[in-house]
Amino acid sequence: MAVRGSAFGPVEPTATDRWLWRAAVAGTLVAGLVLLRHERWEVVMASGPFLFKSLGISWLLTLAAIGIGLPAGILLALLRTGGPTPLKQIAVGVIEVVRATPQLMVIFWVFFAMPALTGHKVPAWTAAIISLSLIAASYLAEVMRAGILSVPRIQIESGLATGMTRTQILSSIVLPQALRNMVPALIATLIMMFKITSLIYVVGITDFFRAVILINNREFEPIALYTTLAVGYFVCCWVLSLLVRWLDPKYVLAH
Amino acid sequence: MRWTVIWDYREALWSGLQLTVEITLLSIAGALLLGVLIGCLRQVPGYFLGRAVMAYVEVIRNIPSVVKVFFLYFVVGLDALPAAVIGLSLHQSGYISDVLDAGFRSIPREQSEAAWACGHNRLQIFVFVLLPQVWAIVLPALASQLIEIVKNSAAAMLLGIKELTFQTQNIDVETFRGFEAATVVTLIYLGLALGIAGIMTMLERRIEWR
Amino acid sequence: MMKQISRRRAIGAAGAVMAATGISAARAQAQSAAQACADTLAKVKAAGTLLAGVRNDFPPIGSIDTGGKPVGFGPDLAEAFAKKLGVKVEFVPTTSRTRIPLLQNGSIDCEFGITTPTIEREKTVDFSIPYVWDAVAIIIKDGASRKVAEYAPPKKVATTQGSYIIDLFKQHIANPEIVLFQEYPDAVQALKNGKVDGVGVNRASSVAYVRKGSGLQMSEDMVRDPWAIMLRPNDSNWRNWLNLTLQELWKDGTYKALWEKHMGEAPDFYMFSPYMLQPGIK
Repeated sequence: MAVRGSAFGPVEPTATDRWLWRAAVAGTLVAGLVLLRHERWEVVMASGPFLFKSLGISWLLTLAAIGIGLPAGILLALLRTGGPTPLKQIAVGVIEVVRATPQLMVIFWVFFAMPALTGHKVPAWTAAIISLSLIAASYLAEVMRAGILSVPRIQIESGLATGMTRTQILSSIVLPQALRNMVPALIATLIMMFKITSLIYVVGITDFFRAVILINNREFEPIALYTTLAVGYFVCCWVLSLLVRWLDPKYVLAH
Repeated sequence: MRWTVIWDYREALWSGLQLTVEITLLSIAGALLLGVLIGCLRQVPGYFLGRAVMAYVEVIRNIPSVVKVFFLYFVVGLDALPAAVIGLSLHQSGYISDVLDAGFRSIPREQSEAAWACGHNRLQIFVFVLLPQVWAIVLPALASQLIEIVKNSAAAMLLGIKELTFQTQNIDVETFRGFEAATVVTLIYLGLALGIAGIMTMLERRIEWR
Repeated sequence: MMKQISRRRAIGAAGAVMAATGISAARAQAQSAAQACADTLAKVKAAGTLLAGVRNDFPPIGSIDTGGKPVGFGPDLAEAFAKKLGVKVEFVPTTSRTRIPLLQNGSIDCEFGITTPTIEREKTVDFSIPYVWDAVAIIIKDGASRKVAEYAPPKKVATTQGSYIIDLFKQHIANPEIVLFQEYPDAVQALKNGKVDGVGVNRASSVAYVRKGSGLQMSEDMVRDPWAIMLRPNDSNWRNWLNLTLQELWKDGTYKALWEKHMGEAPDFYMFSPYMLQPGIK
């Protein structure tokens, strides 16, 4: 992977530089392992399958939330940037309220408050996916909006001048550039969504975070288990960000 | 539904709100300081510095704030309040540096090149060309980051600090009026977010006016 | 600037809508609660499934095995209840914070947890007769005083938010300084790190922390602590069935066997009264 440039342009490292950096990273990891060698890691090992299963649930929830939240977010962003006034107001309201509300409260409202309002029980998984998608949609809408606004207005006007329809301008001029510009914010939001899945235990679903807490309740090995938590989250969030960069390999080079 | 229950807990809620505001303001100061510093460091050319700063951002961003707060409290051995404030500052500094980095990148490269051609050195270009412009660009995105700090401040509860979320949960566990408590906490956080958004809008206006 | 102003207005309007929603939701909640409390016994029989709330964060009453399956005294007892009714059992994990909302919204039919019946809780939910008599004590460091009254300030005592041990501290310690955590392991870790001087817990759960070589011990008992099966209010068919079945399970030895399996000793309490079970229990 190319080194990301600064505002002054890219920096080219030598082979020695690269090896020195790798050695520093490896040294840090080894130092960490040495410091933690006396923890009861067998406790973590014994619960390995459970931890992986719960990690799968975290991924499932994240991907479902993104899968539903991304189209919904694009819709909200389009309504907010160019929709008719009443719809625009609704979009602004949804986006801003959901983003300003503590996420736990969004889940609480969907699972406990709405059923009381309508008289229908919402199954835990449905409530989880609805609330997470709502959160994802609101955050992604803002990411999208920033991306859309980053496309110079003059391009849209030129499009209109050459006789393109609004849909054409949107699909062939605005969205491709908007998507490119929003990659860093997209990564941050997806990582945030992965972390937010940890709140879903209130509806009775055991995700990775809750699984670690539960094992700690049984075994009381806080340092080993919280380290597992940190490593698990680090790896998953890193994979998520690599995934986005892999979808847009030009991003690193283009900037 | 008994809304009077909220009135019975007004003193607890008020003290919780004060603590939340205190933690938030301290964390905002810390996160801004650290985030802006890291964001600027990301602009400095240099392989090791670049790599180290990126490693910091990745680690900070990819580890839940709870783990950081616990680490500072249990392993480093800080008191509850400093652990919460430093943890929250560290957590948001990664994101703020991202915002700043994006801001610097959005300034056309031609400006730096022109200044370079005029014989200014990199430090001069950074301080006199890039830095003055970046504030106006990053303010809206920065506002969202500061609102995130308000919401994340609830993590202080995990260390036994009786802040706002703790107090509303207390209403819930003592009286089981979870509904009223949730509504009130939602509205208070909305109000806080609104306050920050308002201040940032004022700042934006002032910068634009200048 | 128009954009910002309209955004602020929109948030305000949405906030008002949410508040209004909250008020009307309250009315709806009262109505749906009235419908929900019809007859859980009939509902469980018709559905063929008992939705049992169990703890999975409180060994040995309720925790998880290495595969994540609920295990412990609570789940086993819930299974025995379901067998008596000839239905399947489905476990729903509860926490101190979610147990009452989960009961209210119909996610569970009753809870086999660690819930102490209190006057305040009775205003919202209903309870069976006590199904476990546990004790409450303080986890302290080896060598510290076992007398509870000596944990007044400057010493700090900890427990978890929402626990009724907070009230016990106030009864047994003069002006106690109480630090509240969200999970017991965090409180115990704070004790080990010297952040607090004692952690109030149920004796049943202390086995996870007070082990050989842990450097921790238990104080004297503060009080005997009853736990009851929690259910929705105004549901006497369901409560009667739970009360009677509990005593039947005691009489036929199922209860004792399960208790010994999880606690390693026979129960040191009686199910109904020190003299006998309710007259007429077969």
